[in-house]
Amino acid sequence: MKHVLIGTALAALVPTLLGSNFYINLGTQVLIAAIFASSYNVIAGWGGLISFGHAAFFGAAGYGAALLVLKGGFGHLAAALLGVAFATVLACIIGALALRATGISFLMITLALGQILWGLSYRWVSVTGGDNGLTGLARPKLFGLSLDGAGAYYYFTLAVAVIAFLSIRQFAGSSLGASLRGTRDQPRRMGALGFNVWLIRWIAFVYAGFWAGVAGLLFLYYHRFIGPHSLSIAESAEVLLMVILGGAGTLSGPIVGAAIIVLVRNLVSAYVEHWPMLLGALFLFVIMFVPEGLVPGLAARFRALRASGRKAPVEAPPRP
Amino acid sequence: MSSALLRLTAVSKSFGGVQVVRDVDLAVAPGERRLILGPNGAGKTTLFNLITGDVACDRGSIVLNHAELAHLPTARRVRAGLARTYQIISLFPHDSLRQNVVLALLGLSRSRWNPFDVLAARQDLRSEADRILATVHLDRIADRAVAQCTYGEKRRLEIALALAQQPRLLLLDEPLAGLSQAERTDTQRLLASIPPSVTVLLIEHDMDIALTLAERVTVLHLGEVIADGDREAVIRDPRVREVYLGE
Repeated sequence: MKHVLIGTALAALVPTLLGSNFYINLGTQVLIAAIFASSYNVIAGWGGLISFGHAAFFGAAGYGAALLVLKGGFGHLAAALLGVAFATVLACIIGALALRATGISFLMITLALGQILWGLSYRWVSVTGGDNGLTGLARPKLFGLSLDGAGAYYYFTLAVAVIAFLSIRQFAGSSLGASLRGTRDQPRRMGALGFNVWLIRWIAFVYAGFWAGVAGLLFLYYHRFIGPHSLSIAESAEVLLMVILGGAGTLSGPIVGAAIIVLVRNLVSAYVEHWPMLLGALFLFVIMFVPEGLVPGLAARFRALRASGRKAPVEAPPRP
Repeated sequence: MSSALLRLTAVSKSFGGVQVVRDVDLAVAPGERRLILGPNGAGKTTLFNLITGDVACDRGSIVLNHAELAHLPTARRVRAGLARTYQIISLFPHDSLRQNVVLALLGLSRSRWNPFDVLAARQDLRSEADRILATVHLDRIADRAVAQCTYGEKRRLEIALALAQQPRLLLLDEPLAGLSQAERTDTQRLLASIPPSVTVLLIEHDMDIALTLAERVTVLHLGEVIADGDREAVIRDPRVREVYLGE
């Protein structure tokens, strides 16, 4: 909890410290990506299930809410709730289909189902606007306060992000979270211990889909736009890279991974034309020197440095 | 043996064209210690897998305490009173010994679905895990990561996980395999201390120890039961001596 409070306090200072709208908006993008990556971490990090269709829930919530506001005449609150509900129901269905398999088969099923949704968004022009996406959405007011400004939307996103991180942290530290990690490490043994492995994975998949939907909704209102890219395989691959870069199966790893990728994409690209090469070099560094991810890898090396010279019995590291 | 705790009737399993278990009938009484013998490839571990549901049987009936299990998933069979250890150790290597046992305790608890509790703060599970670890003499290293344990300690932890489930029927698949002589003696004592309320089905190649633990023996050969009865009679059986002892 101490780390969450310190992180929130520091994040709350961003608009004051950085001032310019460009950096505040960058902070908002980092927070949205961090929620998305943390949601993916639930299934990939703790569940051990690599999906290439996670962006489907991110995009589905955005498209759902945008369509309800722009074409259905719904209010923002109802549209937002229904948008996230749509993403969650979609996660229920895709999870039920994809979790019939594990490993590479699971990955391929999620990829195929994600691509179906991407194809729909791209080709069903009369509804989704096709490649042009859906535009013209205004940001709502929250209790009479406008979210139009960069600072207001940043604080709104920060509040949602803190709720998301606390919720995911609670999930990971709960009995259900421990069960999920067990299904990742020893699925057969978990069955022999009386756990319903499939159901545990499905619940985690739906929970991850819910938070991906929340991130998608924030993305929609941030950009006031939603397009096919938001539920593409590229988006799913990017969130996977965020989790791997920061450290799968940790609470802070996906947040750090999301921050690095968003910052490199937005800051370094202004100075370096071939900025993806820098990202590639960073990944090479991580794979070669800290394959468990930056956060757990660097933390382990820091612990080893502190412990050098001392010989203590090796204990299991604390689990989230 | 009408009051059998476990009754297998015509249980069969094929993989492709190979029949690994063929029409196996088996009745195990409550509290019995039954040894399953047979050369490599006889179908012993497959039989265990069929009983636990790790592998689905092609046909036949598996009844535990009057409940038909053959079509139930593994988790529901476990809730009916089954527990097992594996021939190849399958533990949670990054977790501590205590965390492993806590997970085993959680498996049969309704709180396994609870996303709102804090597992690390569950003193009840922690105390119970420590008590179980003490029964297998691992309580002094409860905080140690499983990956840092010796092979013998891991074998005892396997048994601890199974005991944590408070089973009616415990399936032990080669619990002495790979252990040193001292570890074998320790584990033999541990197995002998399993309360009589737990029925034990044991696969073990160390005949000296196994025959001290089991009153009755079933011998499998090429997936079929070729002998079944009390240990002296089975050991004297000429077919068993031919198949298993090479005489």
